[in-house]
Amino acid sequence: MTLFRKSALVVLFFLCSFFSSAVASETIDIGMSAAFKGPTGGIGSELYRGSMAYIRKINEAGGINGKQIRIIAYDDGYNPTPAIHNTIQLIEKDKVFLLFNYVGTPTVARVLPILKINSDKNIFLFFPFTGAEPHRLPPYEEYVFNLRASYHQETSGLVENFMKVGRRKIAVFYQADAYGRSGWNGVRTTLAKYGLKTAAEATYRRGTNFSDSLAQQVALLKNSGADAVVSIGAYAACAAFIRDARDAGWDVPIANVSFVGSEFMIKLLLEAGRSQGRDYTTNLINSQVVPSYEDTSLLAVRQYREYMDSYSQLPPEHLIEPNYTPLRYSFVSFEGFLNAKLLVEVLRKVGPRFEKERIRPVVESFRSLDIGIDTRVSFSPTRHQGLDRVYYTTYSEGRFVPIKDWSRWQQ
Amino acid sequence: MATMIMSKLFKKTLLIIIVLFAVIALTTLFSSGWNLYHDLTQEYKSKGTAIARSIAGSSVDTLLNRDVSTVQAMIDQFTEIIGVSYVFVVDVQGELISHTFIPNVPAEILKLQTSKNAEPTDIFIKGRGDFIDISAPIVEGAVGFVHVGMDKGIIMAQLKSAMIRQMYLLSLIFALSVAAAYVLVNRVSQPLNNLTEYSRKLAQHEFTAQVEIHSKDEVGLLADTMQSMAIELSEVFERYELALKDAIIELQNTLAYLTTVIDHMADGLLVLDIDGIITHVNPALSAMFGLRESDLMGRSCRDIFGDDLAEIVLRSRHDPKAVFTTEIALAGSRTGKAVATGIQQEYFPLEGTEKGIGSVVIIRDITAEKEVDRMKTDFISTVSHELRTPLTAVKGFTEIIKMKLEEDILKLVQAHDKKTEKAIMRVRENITIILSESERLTKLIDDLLDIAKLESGKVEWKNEPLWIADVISRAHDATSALFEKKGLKFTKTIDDALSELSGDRDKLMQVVINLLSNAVKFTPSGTVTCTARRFDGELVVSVIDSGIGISDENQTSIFEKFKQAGDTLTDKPRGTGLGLPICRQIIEHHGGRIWVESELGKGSVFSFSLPLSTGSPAEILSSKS
Repeated sequence: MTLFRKSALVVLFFLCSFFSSAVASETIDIGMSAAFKGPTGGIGSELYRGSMAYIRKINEAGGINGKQIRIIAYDDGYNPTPAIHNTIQLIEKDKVFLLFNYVGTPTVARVLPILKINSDKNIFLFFPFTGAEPHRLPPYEEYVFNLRASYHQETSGLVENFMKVGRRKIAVFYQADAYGRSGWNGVRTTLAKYGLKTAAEATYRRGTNFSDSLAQQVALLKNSGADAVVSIGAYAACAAFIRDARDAGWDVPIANVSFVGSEFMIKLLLEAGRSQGRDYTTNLINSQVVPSYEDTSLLAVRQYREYMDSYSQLPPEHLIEPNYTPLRYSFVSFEGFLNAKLLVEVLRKVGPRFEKERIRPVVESFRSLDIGIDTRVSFSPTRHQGLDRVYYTTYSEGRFVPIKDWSRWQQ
Repeated sequence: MATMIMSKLFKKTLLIIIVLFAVIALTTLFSSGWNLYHDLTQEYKSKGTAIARSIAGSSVDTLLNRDVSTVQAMIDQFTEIIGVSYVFVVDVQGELISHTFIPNVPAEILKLQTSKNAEPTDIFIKGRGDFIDISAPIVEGAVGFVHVGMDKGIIMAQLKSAMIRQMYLLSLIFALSVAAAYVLVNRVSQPLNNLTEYSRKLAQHEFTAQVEIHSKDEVGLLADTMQSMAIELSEVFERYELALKDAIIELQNTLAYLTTVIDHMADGLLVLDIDGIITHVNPALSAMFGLRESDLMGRSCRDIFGDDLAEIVLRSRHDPKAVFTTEIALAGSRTGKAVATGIQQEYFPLEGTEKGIGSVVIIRDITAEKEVDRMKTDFISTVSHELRTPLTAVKGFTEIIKMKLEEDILKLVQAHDKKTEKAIMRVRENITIILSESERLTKLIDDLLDIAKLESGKVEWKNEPLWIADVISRAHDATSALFEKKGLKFTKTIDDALSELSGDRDKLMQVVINLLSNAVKFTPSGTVTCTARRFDGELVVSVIDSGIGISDENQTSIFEKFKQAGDTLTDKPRGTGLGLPICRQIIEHHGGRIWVESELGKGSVFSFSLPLSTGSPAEILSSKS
């Protein structure tokens, strides 16, 4: 834990504009604890990059009310305990204005009680990269503002679609923690509506690497005769599962949720496919909580691509894996971009004195806010989740494309 | 040797330590292991119970919200606790709504029956191990149940590591105890080793050895005592050594003296053991037989010296008080006389039974004596023959002269004058003297011839059955004229039970006659008694007179030749002096003895003995020669 604390670094990003020397005396500090390293490290890194691509522009334009937005980021490696320590550090030492861009269910679920005990300080977590229920339900929902749809919505949609194409024996492959449990619960409750149960279940340990074998889990699910798999996990494990399933000759559609980081997953499968001389990328379904960054009809997408193209920086060196290669575009960085866009809107409304107690009323007053995508964002005292829409994509011809017709998986 | 003793002591101590230690260690190990296992199990049960209850207590709201994700987040953090292997929550329908199993929920868990007051149960999950399943109800089971699985394998692992730590500690203590024991044992055993070494030296009479122990304890005291003991011992040993040296020198001198005496004896000395094996000879003996000492030692007497010597040696052993003699042929046609005596153990005879230990034989070269004796006998024989022939003529012619003189001449001489009468008387007397002297001379010559014959072995001995009573009776008849002449009375006492003898009757009669004549001769008046009786297995014949007696000094010599009692110079010879020696020769030839008992003025008793053995005289004779 001290290692994390030590390795954590306060990062200041001052954008050297012509005015910077005159205005840089004050910043708005935003705290972030995410997975930058380890098997889920790509998520935190890309989320950060997406957000920074937008914030940089804002800061370059003079910030908000003359204040530069600064993200103070720590790595928690997708583990709850470092996440807790990082949060305490951010709140008590760094005295951040708000928490932002947390990654992962097991981490966020454990951070929630800290928010609750600091409720008098008006500390809010904005737009965590997780669709789990704990921060969408009492007693913690009031301290968290979500942008993305929930895992329940994602998995429920996946199951509904499988039902439509006659795939009723649904197996669940999930991470043995709160994240996996959240997705598992979505599958389970949706199936229950049809009077069904999961055909089989298999778990894996959080932190599993791509090189690890998941053949045991594959066998468990395959032997149940399932005709579709819903996979709730991180990209390394999920890619390994797909690889082992295909290696076992099991060809059923495998659906992954947004958290998996579709591009990272595909990257691993393509690499494995190249070395094995086979294609691991077919029959994959990935649900997303943001629109496709390929849909340039959307303002936010055009803006995102422009900002990302002009922004080539990596997160601070010590936060990330040494050989990390960033993705040009990704659903994750696009989500980070949208998160930042909404955050800036929140900060603008909360300004100019940036009183924390104003945060909640401001956000809860957002109605039908257009952030440049195909749907609008609304919040209210009873609604702390901005978006509900789930987008289903599949990998085809080198890119993720929206699924317009599920009938190809008709059975 | 020292290290061996030390190591023995050390080994024993070590063995005791090891056994004690093993007992203590095993007891401690097992009891603490059992306690630890028990405690750990209890602790894990309480831990599991606490966790289960804690989850149960705090998951009510989330469960009611149907927020299984939060439940999962909560149970996940408990699996980080050591010993917690799994946690799962079942809802009221019995459905597992959260669990921590990877990759799936084992069948054994699905079979678990959940009840409100379930005790911790042991559960074995195939491929995963043994667990203690502890359950806690959520709101008394109305919402569901929490199960916590405690890993027994961890209990065992902890137990094992604790046991190993304990083993290390015990081993360390053991090593220290052994080291301490080694030092202590050494401290005790080193002085003991020194003392042992010192005692060994004392045993080898190294009284100058020193022992370096100056401690004030019992060992030091012992060392001091041993040292003063050593000093006293050394003094005693010195004294005894000096005394022994003196004694040895004395003994050596004595032995040398005795050896010299024996080696320089003119006679041969032969010592035999009880089995007749030669154990000692002197140079004289070796020379006599022309054999080397090495040829004799250890050999049987019979093999070397023949049956005669072996026989007397045998007899000497049976009768150690007597002396046995025999003649033996020596080297170079010489003759020796062997005298054998039995020897007995002089010192410490057992319970009065004197034990014969062998025989000593002295052999003297008597070749010269034999030769002289033979020459003497030959001489006497020759001379006697030469004397007897003229003497017979002298005697015969004298008798004829006397007869002619009496019958023819003197009758014619009518001597009326005193002078003629006186001359006739003188002639008559002289002729009578001549006659008696020639008779005496004849007798002397006969005796001389007899003795010469006897000594030269030229006598022909008869061997016939005889009765001693008959012999005595006829001897008396032959001498009755003498008794009548002197008016002496003769009595005889003969045992009736006397058995027949065998021998030469005439010779034995000659002996009795001789003894009777002597008795008559030396008895002026009184009685001569002859007795014959059995005594000690022998026939003893005695002739008892009441005559003048014989002095002690004469008693031993009268059986030698020409030795009459009395002084031949002063006393008138009354016999030839050969009678008794002849008697002796005859008696000894018969295997008997002859002897005299006498007191001056009171008379003499001449006795001879004859063996009454069943053996014939011939056998006796042969054994004698």
